[in-house]
Amino acid sequence: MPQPPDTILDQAPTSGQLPVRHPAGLRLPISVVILTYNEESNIRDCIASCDWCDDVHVLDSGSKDQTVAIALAQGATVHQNKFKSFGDQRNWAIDNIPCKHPWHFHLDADERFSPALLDEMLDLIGPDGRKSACAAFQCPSKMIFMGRWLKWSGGYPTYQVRLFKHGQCRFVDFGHGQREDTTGQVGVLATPYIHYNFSKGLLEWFYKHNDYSTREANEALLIRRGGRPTLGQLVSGEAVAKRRAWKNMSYFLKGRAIWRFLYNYILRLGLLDGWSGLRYCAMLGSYEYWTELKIKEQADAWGPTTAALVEKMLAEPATTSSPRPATNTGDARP
Amino acid sequence: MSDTPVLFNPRGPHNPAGLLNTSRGQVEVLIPTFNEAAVIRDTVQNALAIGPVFVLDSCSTDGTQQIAKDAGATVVEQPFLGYARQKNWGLENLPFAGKWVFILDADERITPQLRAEILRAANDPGSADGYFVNRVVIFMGSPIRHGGLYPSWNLRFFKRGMCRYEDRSVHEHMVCDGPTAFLRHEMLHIRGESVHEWVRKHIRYADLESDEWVKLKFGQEAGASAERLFTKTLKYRQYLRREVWPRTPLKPLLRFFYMYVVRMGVLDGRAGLHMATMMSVYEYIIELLYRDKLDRIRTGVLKRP
Repeated sequence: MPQPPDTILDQAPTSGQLPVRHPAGLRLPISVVILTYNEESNIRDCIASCDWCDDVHVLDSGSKDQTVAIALAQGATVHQNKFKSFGDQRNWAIDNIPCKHPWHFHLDADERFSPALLDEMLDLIGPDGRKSACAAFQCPSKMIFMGRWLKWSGGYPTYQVRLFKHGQCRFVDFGHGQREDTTGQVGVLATPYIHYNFSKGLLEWFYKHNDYSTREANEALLIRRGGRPTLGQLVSGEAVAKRRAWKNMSYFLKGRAIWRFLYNYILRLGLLDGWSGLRYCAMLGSYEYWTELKIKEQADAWGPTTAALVEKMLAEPATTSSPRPATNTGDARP
Repeated sequence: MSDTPVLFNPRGPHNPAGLLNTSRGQVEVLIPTFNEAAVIRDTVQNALAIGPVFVLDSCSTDGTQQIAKDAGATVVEQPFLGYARQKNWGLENLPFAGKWVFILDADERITPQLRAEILRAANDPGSADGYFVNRVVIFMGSPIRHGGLYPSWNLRFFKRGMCRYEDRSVHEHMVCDGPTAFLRHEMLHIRGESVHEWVRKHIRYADLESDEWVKLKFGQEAGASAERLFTKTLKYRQYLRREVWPRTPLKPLLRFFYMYVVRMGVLDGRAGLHMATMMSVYEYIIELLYRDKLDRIRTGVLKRP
C-alpha cells in the first residue's frame, strides 16, 4: 500500500537542513537537475536546499530505495534513465528534461545550495537570465568532512562546471567524472556550493582509494621503467610538463606517505582545520602509503619470495620415521 | 546436502606421506571459504594429509567450490552467517564421522611436523579435548616472529562436540568444555594476497570491528560473557581489547609503537616495519569509521544498533 506523502517525508533521513531561499526572497531563472541512485539518505536535505527553485528535476537511474518517493513528496519532477556514465547522464538531462528556465544547475544529491551562492548567481545572470555573456560557470565547492569545512587540507578551491545555459554546453566523460564541452565563454563563481563528500560514510572513501592507489602504483611502475626525470625537465619548460615531471619524480622517492602528510598538513596549512584537518591529512597519508607499498610489492617481487619460502617450510622431512625437530623446542606455552 | 563424505584413504594420491597416518580417518578438517579460488587447491591437498576435508563455502562467486571438489574435498555451501556463526553451523551440521576436527583457514598450511603431532595426539587415549596450535605469519617473503604476532595460539584441533566459537562478528574466539593443551609444532599463515587484497580485507574487518565498538558504546554486550571465556590470560586481554582500547587516544601510533618497538617487530626487518605500519593504518580506519558512525547516528542518518 503506498504511503501518503507526508508520512514518507516524516520518515526520510535528514541532518536538519533548513530550506534555502534567496536572501531577498527573489526567484532565479535557473532549473535544478539532481542525478540520483539510491540517495534516500541525502535527497530530502538536498531538495530542501532547492527551496528557492520552482523547477526541480530528479534524474534517477533505477534507485532501489525510497529516493524517488521522497523526491516526489517534496514536489520534484522525477525522470528515469539508465546510467551509463556521468557525461552521458548529464547530456540526457539536457536533451530530454523539459526545463522551464534558460539556465540549468546540476547539483548532486550530496551537495547543497547556500543563500550567498543564490545571491551571486542572480547577480551574474540577472532576473531574466540574459545579463551574462558566459555559456557556463565553474563552481567551487566546500568539502565537508566530519562536520567541518576542510578549507585548507581539502585543497580549496577546486572547480566544476555546474551552472550553464541550455543549448550552449554539454559534457564529456573524463577520469572518474565528466568535463564540460562548450565553445562559449566560461566564467567563474566565487561562492561555493556545499559538498558532503562523506555523507554515506567513510567506508566508500577507503575502498575507492584502495583502488586508486593500485592504479597509481601500476602507472608509477611504468614511469619508473622510463628512468628519473632530468633536472632540466624539473625546472624548465611548460607548467603542465613541469608538473608532470615532478609527479614522475615523486615515484622515485621514499616515504610518500610522510611527504604527502607534511604537504597537506603543514605546507597547505591543513593544521588550521583542527582535528578534522589532521584526520583528513592522515587519510591522504594512508592512501600514499598504500601506493608506495604496492610499488614495492611489484618491484621487489614479494609474491614469488613468499611462495618459495612456503615451499621450503612445507617440504617433507628426509625420513618419515624421524620428523625433523621443530624450531621451537620444549613445552611451548603462550 | 547432496554430497556424501569422501571416504578417507590414508595412502591415497593426496597423501604422499600416508605412512605417517595411523588414525584411520579419526581426524577431519573443516575449511571455511569465500572466494579462495587462488589458494584452495593447495589448502585442500595440504589438509587431506591429516584426514577427510570439508569445505564450508559461503557461496563463492569465483569457482572455489569446483576447485575444492576436484582437489578431493566435500563441499557444502551455506550463505555467510558471520565468522563465528558460520563455523559453528559447520560444526553442528556437516556430516562429520571422526572423533577429531581441525579447523583450517584457506590461507593456512599444516607443516609435516605438525601433521605428525596431530595424528599422534588423535591416537593418544589420555589426550586433552582441545589443542592450541601456534601459527607463524609469512609476509613479504619472511616469517614474522615478533611484533606481538608470534606466538599466536589458536584452538583449532579438538574433539568433536567439545568446542564452539563465541558469537562475535570478527576476531572470534573458541570456547572449550574440556581440558586443553598446546601442540609444539607450527602451522603457517600465508599472507600471500596482494597488498590490494590485504587492504580490501582489512577495510572490511575495520567496518565490522567499528560496528562492535558502536554496539559497546550503546551498551550492548558483544560476544560471550567473561565467565564463559576459558583462560585467565585471554579473559584479561579480551577485556583490554573490548573495554579499554576503544576509549584510548592515539590508537594508531600506540599500535605501531607497541608492535614495532615494545614487541620488537624491528627484528623482523622490512617485513616487520610494514606489518606494523599496515596494522597502524588498519587501527586508524577502525577509529575513523567508529567516529563517523557515531556522528551519523547522532544526526539520525544511521540507526542506533
